[in-house]
Formats: sequence, structure tokens, C-alpha cells
Amino acid sequence: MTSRIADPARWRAGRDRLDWAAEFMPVTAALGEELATAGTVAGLRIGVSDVLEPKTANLALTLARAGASVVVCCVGRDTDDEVAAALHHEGIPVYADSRATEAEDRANVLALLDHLPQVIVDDGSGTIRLAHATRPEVLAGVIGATEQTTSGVRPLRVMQRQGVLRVPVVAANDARTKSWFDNAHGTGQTVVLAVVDLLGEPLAGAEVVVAGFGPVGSGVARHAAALGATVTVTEVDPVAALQARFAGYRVDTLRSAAARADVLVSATGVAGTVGVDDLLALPDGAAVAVAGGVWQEVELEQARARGARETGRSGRVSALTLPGGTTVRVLDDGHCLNVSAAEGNPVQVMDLSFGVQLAAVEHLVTHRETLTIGVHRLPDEADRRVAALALAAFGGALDTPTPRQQESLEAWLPRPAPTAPAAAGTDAASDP
Amino acid sequence: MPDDRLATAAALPAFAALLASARTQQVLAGVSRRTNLTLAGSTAVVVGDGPLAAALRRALHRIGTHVVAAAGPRTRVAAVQDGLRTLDPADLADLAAATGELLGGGRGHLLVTGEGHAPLDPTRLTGVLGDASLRATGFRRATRGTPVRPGVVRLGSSWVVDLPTPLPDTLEGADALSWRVADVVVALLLLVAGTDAGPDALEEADVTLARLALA
Repeated sequence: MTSRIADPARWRAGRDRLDWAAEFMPVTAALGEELATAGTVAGLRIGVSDVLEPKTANLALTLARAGASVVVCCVGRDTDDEVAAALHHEGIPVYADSRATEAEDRANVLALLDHLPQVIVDDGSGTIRLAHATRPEVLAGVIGATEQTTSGVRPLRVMQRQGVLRVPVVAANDARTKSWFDNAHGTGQTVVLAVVDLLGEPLAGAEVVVAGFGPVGSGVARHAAALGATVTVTEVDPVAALQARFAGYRVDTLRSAAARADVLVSATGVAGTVGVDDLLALPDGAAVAVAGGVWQEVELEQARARGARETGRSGRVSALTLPGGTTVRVLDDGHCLNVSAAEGNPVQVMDLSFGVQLAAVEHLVTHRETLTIGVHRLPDEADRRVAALALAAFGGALDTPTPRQQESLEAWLPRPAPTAPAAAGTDAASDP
Repeated sequence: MPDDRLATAAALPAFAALLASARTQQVLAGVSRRTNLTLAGSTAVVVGDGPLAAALRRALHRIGTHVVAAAGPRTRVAAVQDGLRTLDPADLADLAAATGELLGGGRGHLLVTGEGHAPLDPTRLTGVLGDASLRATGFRRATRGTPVRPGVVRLGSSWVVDLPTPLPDTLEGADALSWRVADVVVALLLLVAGTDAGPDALEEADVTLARLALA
């Protein structure tokens, strides 16, 4: 078995953390059992390209236990070497090393593609896109791919519009069970508490500005407010901005809000969200963090090009002195904070996301003859199935629509005309 | 400052609010970092009657945690008005059974604050346990558990999370938020320095502390 990892001897510590996560992943376990029993993925080659931490490792193990030949890759920045060693110890080829350079990261993705995966489980769609760009011959054998991030689905839809996408993709990200929970609750908790951890300052009383009020931004806003912060939301979409206003937050332009921010969190997943002029508007000592997850969501490179320079560093917090003389604190060099400065989103929330990923894999494989090339939504039935499993795990019960309710849901005729009124003096109409 | 004066200080509104807020954020960041478990959607039993328990309940409730207040009747009646479920301390004797059911098969959180309750025996509890108290008075000293990951040990049918100490325990490597807790304590001590630390002096110091914090 080939692997490129930092240190195979570190497997035991990784194994312990995998076991801990598995205790809280009932949805992944249940769906894995179903896949194994049905033999859906038996003998298939599946490439998992994701942040490599205990939860994703359990996803890879689940697919392997269901009979698939699994191979895993991850960029160095998002690799936990103990976890990589634990997966390697379980017999899964792993191409992931926290020390990897950018060139080595790319080589590791290509190494995964060399295994000729028939299904690609992706995070950020980097592997799917690299296959299209550099290894198109691999795509001929690909049944399909799944993608679990907003920022990863977006370029895949662009590829579809431009006619260059060559495989069916299930946008696992768009499943309600994924985006309503992982993006909002998972990223919200992890990012906000990582900010507290890194800054070493309570958020109570702080002015927190959240750029973007999609699922991630709304989760960041809610968690910050829960810890006592005063939250201002900035948006380009008036509907989302109105939602933020109705959620009780101040809504303002980014430039205006930045001027009073103690903490600015970009949660859009769009490059260039926080421009250099926005950074210049920040008060001295303000902190900047990214919850979205694309390169240069905060334009740090452009800021350096305009004369900004790093004037201090403490762990993952760097001091960036701007041309105007103010100094802002940049958290984890502008990388997506929930991945880079914490252990990824919470276990039970990722359990939902990986339940969706497994359902997406099952959908791709069982509908391989009929799925067209393009970006598809996960069928609602599969989405509901994952949610029902999770609801049972969290503690909750469901109603089933009654026949009367079903009839009402499927009705379209207007209400029938009222019957003729009763004779005068025989009903309540005669009451004084 | 003598212990009885400390108890008085702990009841000062501004000092208590600042201390509880700082400790709450330290505890929640610690739980999140140590366990990587979700707060929203989970159930959390918060044991205690004081400002720290109130701050924990409030923050968790706003996050989306199903909070259960395990406290005396006055705290419970206030918690009910806030839409929280409650647990009678009389049930603490059988907390393992109570929390096992409440915490979704023992997979929710149980945070003790040491406020208004005797130290609990963690070996008789179920769930993911954390001692949020300011003086490590939430749990009886436990036998050593089995490490399952950094900062978490298994103890019987529960997991115990090693939360950061409220105040810095070393100059290097202390939990960063502990300096904020220390800041609040030292600020009050400075404000009462040179006074008799009597009720009036404490009251005046608390108002000054509030003004400083607002500024």
C-alpha cells in the first residue's frame, strides 16, 4: 500500500480520537451499515478529498467497511498527521502531510487520481476541478462526485454553465440537512469559539461585524450574539440583509461597519469580500477572521502590495500594520478559521454532513445509468432520511401526515360554494 | 481579601457579571476545543444557583442548546420564565438516571458550577461532564479515568472534560482567557486596596469597575 504521510508511528493517538468521534456519529454508522448490507459500494474505488481530521477519517473507514477501496488525500494545512497515520494503519492509502508544500499538496491530489477513483467525495471541489484540468482521462471512469461546500459547488455550476463539466455531481452542500446545520450551527460555533480562544478576550460587549448573512454568516452572528457581542451584518443581497434585520442585528455597509468593529468576520466564501480599504477603515487593534473559506476572502496580499507589513506574531495571531498606521490582528493568516484553528466543525454536526455525503454516494451509484452530467440536488427523500436518523440521535419524534393532511396537500380545487342559508329564525342569526 | 469578603464581592453585580461572562466564554471555548462536540441541538444540564450558572444557561440557550437548570427553587422558577426545563436538586441523588435520559443516552453536556451545591460525584453521573466552578468545587475529587483524547477521560459511563482553570496557573502557556478573568479580579482588588473592604467600599468599587468596563 502506498501512502505519503508524516509519521506512521503516530497512529495510536489518531486512533483514540477517531474512536471518540465515532461515539457521536450515529448517522454515519447507520448509513454505513445500510451500504454494507446492500453491497452498494462493494468493490468500488472511492477517493475522499477532505479536511483530514477524526470525522472525515471515520467517513473513509465507513466506506471501506462497506466494501469500497478507499483512498484519501488532503492539503497539508488541513491535515492532522495523527489521523493520517491512523487511517494508514487501517490499510487506507493516504496522501496527506501537514508539512507539505503547495506543490506537494497538488502532487497528493494527483496521487489520489492515480488510483482511478470511480466516485470522488470532495470538499471545496479542488480534486474534481484538478481532474478536469489535468487528468481528463480519469473522468471517463468516474461515476460521479459529491461536493459538500458552498464555495466548492459554485465553480462546479460555472463549469456546468460553460459546458466543461464532464461528470454528474451531487451538491451535498445544498441538502437541507447539510447547509442548515453544518454551515450555520457547526461553522458558527467553531469559528466564534476559535476567535475567543485565539484572541483570549471575551466577546461580551464587543462589536462584531459579520460580512455575509447566508447560513454560515447567520450562524456566526448568532453565536457571537449569544456570547454577548453586539452584531452588525453586512450584505449585498437585500433579502438576506432584511433577514438579518429581522433577526435583531444592525445592518450596514461593510465600510461603515468596519470603522467600529472589534472583530470582523468574513462569512461569504467569496474572494475579495474584505478589501484593502475595508481593512484601512478598521480601528487600531481590531481582529479579522475568515469563516467562509476561499483564498483571499480578506485581501491580505493586496494589502501587502499596498505597503502593509507583519509587525508581530503570537501563534496564529499576526499583527498587520497598514499603510495608514493602524495595526489589525489577522487570525490564522486569513484561512478558514473553523478548519485551520480548531478541530473542524463539531462531531455531531459533521455526522449529519457525512450522512448526506453517504446518501449522495448511494444516489450516484444506484442511479449511475440515468444521472446526467451536471450538478444535481440530493433527492429530498434522502435528505429527510438523514435528518430522521439524526433527530432520533438528538432526541426527538416525528409526526406522520394524516390522510386528511395528505389530501389537503394535494388539493387544488377552490373551496366549494357555501350551502343555502337555513330558514330565518332557526339559527344564531336570530340572536340579538 | 478574607473569604467572607470574597463571598460579598462575588455578589457585587458588576463584578459578578464580568467574572461570570469571562468564565462562561472560557468554559464554552474549552468544551468546544477539548471535545469538538456541538452545543446547538445538544442538551446541557447546568448545575448551580449563582451568576456563573445563570451566564452559562443564558449563553447556551442563545446558542441553541436545550438547557436544563438544575438548581434551587428560586433559580428554577426564574429559569422556567426563560423557557428552560428544570431539574430539582433533590433529583441530584439520582442524577445518573436523570441525566442519562435527559442527555440523550449520556451524550449531552453536564456543567457544574459549584454555586449553591455540594460537590457531585462524577462516577455517579452520565454525560460529558465539565467543572466550570471558579474554585474546582463542582466535583468530588475523582479517581483517575482512562484518557480518550487530549483533555478528556472516560470515567464509568461518563466522560470528564479537563476545563481550563479560571485564573492563570502558569505565566507561560496558561489559557488566554484566564488572563481576562484575572483582569477582573485584580481590578476589583486594586479598587478596594487601601479601604476597609467593607460593604460600602465594595459597593463603590463595583460601580467604578462597571464604569471602567463600559469605557
